[in-house]
Amino acid sequence: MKRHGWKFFIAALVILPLIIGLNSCAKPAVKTEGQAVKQPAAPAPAKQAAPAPSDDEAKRKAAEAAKIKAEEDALKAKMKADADAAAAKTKADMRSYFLKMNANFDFDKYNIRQDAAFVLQEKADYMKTKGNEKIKVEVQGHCDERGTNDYNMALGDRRAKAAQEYMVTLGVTADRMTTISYGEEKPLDLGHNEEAWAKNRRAQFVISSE
Amino acid sequence: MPNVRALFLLLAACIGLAFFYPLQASARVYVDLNQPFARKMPMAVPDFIPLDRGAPAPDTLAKDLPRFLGDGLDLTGLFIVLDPKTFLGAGQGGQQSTGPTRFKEWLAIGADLLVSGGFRQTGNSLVLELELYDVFQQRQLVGKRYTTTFDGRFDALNRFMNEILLALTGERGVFGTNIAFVGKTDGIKEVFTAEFGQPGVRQVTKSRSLALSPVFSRRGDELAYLSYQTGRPHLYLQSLSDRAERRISIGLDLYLSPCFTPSGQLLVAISKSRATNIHLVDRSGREKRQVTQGNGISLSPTLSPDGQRMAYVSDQAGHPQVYIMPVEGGEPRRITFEGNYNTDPQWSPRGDRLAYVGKDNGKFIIYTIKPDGTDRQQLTSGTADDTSPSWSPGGRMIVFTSNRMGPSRLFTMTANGERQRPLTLDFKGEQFDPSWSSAEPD
Repeated sequence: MKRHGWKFFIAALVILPLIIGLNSCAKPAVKTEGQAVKQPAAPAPAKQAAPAPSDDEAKRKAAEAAKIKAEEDALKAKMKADADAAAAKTKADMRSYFLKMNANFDFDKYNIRQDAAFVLQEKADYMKTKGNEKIKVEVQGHCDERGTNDYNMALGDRRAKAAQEYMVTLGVTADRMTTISYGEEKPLDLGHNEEAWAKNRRAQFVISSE
Repeated sequence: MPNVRALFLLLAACIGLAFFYPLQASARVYVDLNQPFARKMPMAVPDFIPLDRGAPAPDTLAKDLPRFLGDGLDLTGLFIVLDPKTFLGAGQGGQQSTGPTRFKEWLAIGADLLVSGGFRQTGNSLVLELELYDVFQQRQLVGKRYTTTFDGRFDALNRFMNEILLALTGERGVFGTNIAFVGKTDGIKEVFTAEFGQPGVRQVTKSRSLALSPVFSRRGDELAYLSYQTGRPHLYLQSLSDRAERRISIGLDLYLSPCFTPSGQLLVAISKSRATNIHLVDRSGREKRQVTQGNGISLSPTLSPDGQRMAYVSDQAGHPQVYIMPVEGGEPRRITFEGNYNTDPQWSPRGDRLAYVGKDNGKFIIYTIKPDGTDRQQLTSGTADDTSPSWSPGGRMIVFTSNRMGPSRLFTMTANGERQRPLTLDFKGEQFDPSWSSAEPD
């Protein structure tokens, strides 16, 4: 009703800035790390008309500033933790990928196939990545369950050595790798079919020190 | 007149010869082991009887012992051990089972040979009196008396079976000789030994990981084997008398498939950075001479009985085949031409054949072949995987690994593939890699 309209107008005039001010307070204003967080002082409009600061006013301002800095620091710490966690997850993924992907071989063969060459290239890249220079690996050679035991021990050894030699040509120094054969003794897949056997014919990398 | 005299002398000569021949015929030829499919001799092994009339006759002695004997002799492939159910009362009447009338009863059921046994058990002592008779000629061929204990009863029977084989074939049997093998439990593989003819096993290694491919020394007093006990596969020698174990592989190289030479050194495949080749090494593992050359894989050496020639596996043709070359050096000659995967050669102690494993249609089969590459014989059927053949001392039998029953087990067969039977062993896990000691039995 028209008689009370002016009251609403005043209320809006007071409330609106407050709303705007509080919103500004709540949002983290900074997107990138390292930048000082500057929050708009709130509720600014209410304070703009302040007279010259007295002692009380100065104390209040200092307390306010400290509170703001504490909030800034807490926010910085949280963002760093989030970023660290994100980086670690990717690094763990990469390490897990390094350990899990194997170079596979044809039955009774120890030459490096094209697909095996790709796998070894990725492994070489990983070992040459900055931060991974201290990593040393054991290259294991494995066979499928078919075939006779002595021959499989020899075949596993030749597979491990072939993979190691290929890694050397890709720039990984020989002193970072040792080889071992497990013959047919440690299959990945216990199935008795071609799919299982293909997985078991492999050169597998294990991190021996870092 | 001179002609009549000559005729008379001729007649006398003929009569003399006629007497001479029957005497020769009584030295009967029982078994010519070099005839591969000679007639098998029917043999009866009736229940054993107490030596003292009226003494108790427990099944463990009266029935189990003859059955043990019959089962053992059956493995040799030389006999048809008659089913006791066919005896039809022959030999009933206790100790008179071998009187003259009784021989006729055994003859009537078709037995050529008869084994007869008596026992006396007093406390822990056990006396066994065992005889082998030629039923047709009604005479005893072997008679032995053993004083042992109840626990030693199978040892005594094994010795008796060896005597039977000596009497009938001229070659002592191999019961009681040692077989080494790999036994697997819970993913761990250890080396064990067993005596052929008995189920007991003895553990040799304590790798607590993987111990593989045992091989006996020529005198049977040592075992060589691969073991991962330190985390890496190394070759070890263990003396079976004092259980002293020592490592003979040097450095990080993989030493594989050792073969003892007559002089006590070893031929061993060493896998180096470029290739795997056979080397002669001494008993400390030091390399004396490289025997095979090449850039691929050469391994599994086996020597002819005279130690002059070596058969081995090489992949120089692109896949594994068996070759023979002089040990001192020389051109290798390929002897396997069928199939593209032939491995595990083992030279028979008789020198006349080699056993090996060939892959056919995805299955592994045991063959024998002459050293010149001719006369290949297939011994196993190819319906399962049969691998790792090893000859008995004397070369009349082969022990091997088979998965025909599902889990991997040890089997024996004769040198021409008959009587393929699983070894009865007190070991529940899977069995692999058998090696039959070449030391002759006592």
